[in-house]
Amino acid sequence: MKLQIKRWISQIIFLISANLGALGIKTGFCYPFFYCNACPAATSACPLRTIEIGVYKGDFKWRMITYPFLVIGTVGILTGRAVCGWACPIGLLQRTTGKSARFLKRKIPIFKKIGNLKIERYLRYIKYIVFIGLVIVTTIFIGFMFTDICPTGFLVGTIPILALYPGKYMPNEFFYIALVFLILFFVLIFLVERGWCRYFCPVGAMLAPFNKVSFLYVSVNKKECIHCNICSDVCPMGIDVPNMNRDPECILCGKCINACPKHAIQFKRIKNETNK
Amino acid sequence: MKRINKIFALEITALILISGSLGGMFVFTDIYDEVEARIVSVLCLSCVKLDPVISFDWHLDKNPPSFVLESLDKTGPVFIMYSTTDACTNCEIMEPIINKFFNVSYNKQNDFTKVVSINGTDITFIYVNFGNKAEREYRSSKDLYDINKIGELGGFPMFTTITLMNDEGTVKPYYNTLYGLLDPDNPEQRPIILSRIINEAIQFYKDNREGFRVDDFR
Repeated sequence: MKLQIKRWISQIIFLISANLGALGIKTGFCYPFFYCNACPAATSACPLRTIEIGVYKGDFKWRMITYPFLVIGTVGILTGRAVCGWACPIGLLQRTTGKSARFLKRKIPIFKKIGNLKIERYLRYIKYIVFIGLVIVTTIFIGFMFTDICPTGFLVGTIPILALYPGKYMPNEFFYIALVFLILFFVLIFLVERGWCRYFCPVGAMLAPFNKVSFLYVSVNKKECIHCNICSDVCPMGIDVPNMNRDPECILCGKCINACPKHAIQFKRIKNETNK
Repeated sequence: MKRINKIFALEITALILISGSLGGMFVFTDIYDEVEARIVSVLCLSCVKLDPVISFDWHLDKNPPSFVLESLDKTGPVFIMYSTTDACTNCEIMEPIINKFFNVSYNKQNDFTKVVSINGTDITFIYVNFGNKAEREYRSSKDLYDINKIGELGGFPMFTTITLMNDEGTVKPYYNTLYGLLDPDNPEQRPIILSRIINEAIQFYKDNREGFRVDDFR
């Protein structure tokens, strides 16, 4: 079976498993990806919300803080950011909008230019600022939480609740701000392939450092690489694939592996190499 | 080769430490139950950026719990405040207003009950915290008084006031449940609305106490 079909199947299975709450299955697990526990069908807890509850207004609840980090850490050590590419429902959404972003990049020169700007690589640090700033710092000091304005919460929580219970709820003070963020979120993911994952996802920020030490990673055989850059062109995260070494942005989607004409790119587990 | 072995050793060590700690948390703490009860099973209103619509109507209490009947019979109207210890913005706004009105203070970690006097009438004030191990009867009262049925989503009311009312010749317990913030757009109105509801409950109680036969509801 082709790798990308396997990935579709995996993403759909994870989408369903993230929403088993619709069948009454509610667990005490944390999602290792970006999804909202306020979705009426949610099965598990949002790792960001769990951290926010753990640090809210400086009233530290260490178990609540540690738990999501350990869940993400375990998954991260095993697979790095593969959950972003293979499991995250918001990743699946961005996969479906990716074609539009790719089309724009090919047809409209300005989008190609934006992708090639030097500043683009620095924009990727925004997600770390969002994670540390809005999930941790503002929650501790002023009680303002990222989840108050989270576009995913609006998409999978607010909209279904308003549809299921018409007339029973009214907007709170963050409703319209979050609505604006949701609109910007959609604009972003239609304009930039995996724009949310690249620049803003706080869960991606938690997972990214694990790419450096994960068991599973994407390896480029530099001796066989002819630098045709087809891999970089197909990479949804805009990585310079031929020169990458366990890039924190890599979501292990495998598109570069499929695209490489010389078969110089492979999924690797450390064990494969030590056996060589 | 040596570098790869070092990375492998690092990976194995990190995996053992992190997954071992996670496993330890599952085995030796109640984190799983805590996350399920406090986050997954409770509707987070701030996550959905919504407040429930307020209803000022009084409703017939068809199946009053025994602690409510007891208080209605021996003390006066009952006020139950539902809360959680966890990052509940609306609770944090409403709790000081309610506590000031009833002149109560308590440790949020536990349930709390006190008989307070408002305008010469005793009211049973009950604080129920879902973040902790609230008494089962208190906890389940939330489902009885959740008129908007937001419990289906994991939500819970802000507070319920139970009083007595004459229903076609028979005095019965009636309740009024409010959710979220009282008048979100006008903070200064919140204590006024609260006072109005409580005074209404006191008046209904005074008017109907004489005709109330608690045994009819047991």
